[in-house]
Amino acid sequence: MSFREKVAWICFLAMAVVYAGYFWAVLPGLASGQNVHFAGLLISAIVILAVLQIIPIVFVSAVSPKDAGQPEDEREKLIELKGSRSGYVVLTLGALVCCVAGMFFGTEPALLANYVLLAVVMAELSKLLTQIVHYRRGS
Amino acid sequence: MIANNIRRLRFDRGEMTQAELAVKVGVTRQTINAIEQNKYSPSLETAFKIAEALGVAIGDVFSYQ
Repeated sequence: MSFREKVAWICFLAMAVVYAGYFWAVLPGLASGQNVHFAGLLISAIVILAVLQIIPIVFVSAVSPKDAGQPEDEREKLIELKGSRSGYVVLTLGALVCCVAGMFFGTEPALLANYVLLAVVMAELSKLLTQIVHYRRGS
Repeated sequence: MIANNIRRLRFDRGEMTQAELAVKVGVTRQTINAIEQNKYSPSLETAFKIAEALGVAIGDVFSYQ
C-alpha cells in the first residue's frame, strides 16, 4: 500500500468516525427545534479530527520516510483529480438540497448551517473513498 | 489497449525489481505494478522513461493492441 493510500485511509476513517459522532449529537436536537449549542461541539470535533489524522500520518511517515518524501507521481495526481470530481458532484447536490431546504421549507439557520457542513463532510468522504477505490484497483 | 513487456524486460535485466525500476523512472512502485498489469496507461513521458530505464526502444516495451 502506497503512502498516499495510507493517508487517504487515515483521513477517511478519522473523518467518518468524528463527524458521525458530531452529527449524531447535534442533528436530532436541531431537527426537533431544540436550542443546541453546536459551536463548542464543532470546535471539539475539529480538534479531535486533527489529532486523529496528524498522529497516524506522522507515525506512517516515520515508518517509511522515503515513501513519505517522494513527490506525487502522475497516477497519484490522476487519482486525486478523480476524487476531487466525485467530491464536487456530492457537494453540488448537497448545496442544492440546502437551497431547497432554506427556500421552500424555512429551515432554521442553525440547522441549515449543519446541513451545509454535512454536505461538505459528505463531499470530502466521497473524495477520499473514490481515491481509496482507485488505489485499491490500481487504476 | 496498450500492452507491455515490462515484466519480461525486467527479468532480462538481472531480475530488476519493480521498486528499482520505479526509482529510475521517478514513480511509485505501485504505479509500475499498475502499468505492468495494464491497469494504468502511463503518459508518453513516463513511457519513454521506462524504456530508457530498461535500455530499449519504446516500441519494444509498449504496443497497441
